[in-house]
Amino acid sequence: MAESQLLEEKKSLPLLRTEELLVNMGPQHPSTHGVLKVVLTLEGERIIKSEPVLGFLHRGVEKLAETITYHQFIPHTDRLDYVCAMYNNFAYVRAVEKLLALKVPDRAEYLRTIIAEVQRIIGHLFWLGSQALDIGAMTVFFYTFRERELLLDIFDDLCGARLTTSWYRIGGVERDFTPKIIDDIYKFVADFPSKIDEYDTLLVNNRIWLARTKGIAYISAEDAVSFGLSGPTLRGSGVDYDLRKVAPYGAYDKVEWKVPLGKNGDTYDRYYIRMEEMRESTKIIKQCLDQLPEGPYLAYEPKVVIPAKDRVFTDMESMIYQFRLFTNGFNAPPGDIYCGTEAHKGELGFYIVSRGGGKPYRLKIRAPSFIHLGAFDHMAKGYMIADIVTIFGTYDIVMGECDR
Amino acid sequence: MTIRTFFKNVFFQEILKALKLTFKHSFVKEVTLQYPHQKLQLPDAHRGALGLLYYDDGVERCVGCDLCQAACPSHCIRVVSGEDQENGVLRRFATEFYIDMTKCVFCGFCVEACPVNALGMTKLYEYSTANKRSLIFDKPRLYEVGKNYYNDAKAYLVAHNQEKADESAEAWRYRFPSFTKQ
Repeated sequence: MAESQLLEEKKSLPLLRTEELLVNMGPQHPSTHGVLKVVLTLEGERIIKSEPVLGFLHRGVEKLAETITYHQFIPHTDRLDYVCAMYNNFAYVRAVEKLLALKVPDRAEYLRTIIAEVQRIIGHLFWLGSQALDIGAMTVFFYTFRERELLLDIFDDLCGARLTTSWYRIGGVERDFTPKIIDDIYKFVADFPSKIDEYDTLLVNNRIWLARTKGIAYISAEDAVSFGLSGPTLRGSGVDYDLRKVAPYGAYDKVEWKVPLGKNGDTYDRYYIRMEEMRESTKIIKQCLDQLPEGPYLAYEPKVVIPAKDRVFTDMESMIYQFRLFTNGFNAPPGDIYCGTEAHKGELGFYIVSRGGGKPYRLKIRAPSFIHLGAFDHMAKGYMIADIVTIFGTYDIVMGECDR
Repeated sequence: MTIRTFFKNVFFQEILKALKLTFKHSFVKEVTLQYPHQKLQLPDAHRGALGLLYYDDGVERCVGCDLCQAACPSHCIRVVSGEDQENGVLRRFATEFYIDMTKCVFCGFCVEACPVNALGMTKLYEYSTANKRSLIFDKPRLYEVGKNYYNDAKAYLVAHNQEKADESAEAWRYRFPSFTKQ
């Protein structure tokens, strides 16, 4: 009888049954920072395998880029990494400018650098708040979001939107700083270092928080390089690689700052790096504001850059270019380029293949979040299931950018 | 372990430090707004709902050139243009003008594209509705928004370098044959 056979088998098994357990985490989990699903294989409380499942936020942005002009794609880049829209704009316009070999005015470079660094601070504040919240320290979240709000108000003043900014333009920026914005940024920069010390007081002495970050999500320098990690995740392992130093753009080579490096390659070191980067960012902003040169904020290139409005009103030629640029776009030279920019998460790259004409033939986005998730299994192996949230948080994942 | 660190650990010095900090913050001026009762003062550059504008003499600015439709990255604008002849002057205008506010991404490219500054972004952001269809703004609705929030739209155009604030900005308009009702 089959039934008695089964009974026999059951008796021969040991009393305590151990087997691997499959747990689906997400996509509705609040700590996955968006709609990320991870299939975890557990042995007891240890993670032995984790498999990220992507694509819940796929919107086909890369395909969309092929149907619209280069200029029209700028607002769509806002929605990639929606907490740091300015840096996406920056990375994209830099790629297009490289394709066109376009020279940007000095003042525009400085304005871009200042706002990019402000955006970096916002990104790190957002990371710090949500990371601490995930681990269980709630107060830091309130404090970081208070400062973030001040900076978002500056953005609102500058370009009219807090998150979906679209302020960068191919060949410069959309709008110059007003005296009020410069004052606001100066005031913030003077205040901010003391605020960073506040976050440090709350976290860095706290033994619970230290126990949950030190030694968690470790990755060695060789592994970090071979997985293609970048940004604070890479520098936490002690690899000195920052695109702002390696291939300077904007005004980064005209100001003094240093790249903070970690030693142990764990979550705590990445925290340390992000805090130091915020301090360095305030220095960069301050120096840039002091050095801010006079001049135009948008390049004068009638065939590429959209003409100023007063010129459109009075000059027939500009009016014609206005119509040409908004309907067909500029005529980009054929060729393909890759341009990487150091966003606060890592290297954000745009790869554009042009076959001439006003639309890209193919546009590929190298999103740091996506590359970082490739190392997720490697970094999560062997840790407890309670640490999985810390491991998510350590990359600073935004799914809008990851799934595109 | 020295006695000092022993006492630090036993008395949870780090927790006390953090509590001291949070206690101090209970006397700091609050930064939040009680929204429906208090409202945020929005900056002039704010990109809110779109409105169509009139000239000071009450003539519609829009000439129906479709450039906003071409510039829109989310394809939410539809313009149908028409023309008529009165007093021997050919006049072009938009017979129909739709902006689908459910699709609009508020990038402001249509305002940048417009060769006559007919569109302006206002500080209007409270137009939520239970009826999705009413979010497709048609021509009368857009002119209504433009009329009610004319100052906002004007301030937006000035802030984004689309129009000059002084009277000289009007001069260029009268270089074109003006259409006046008789």
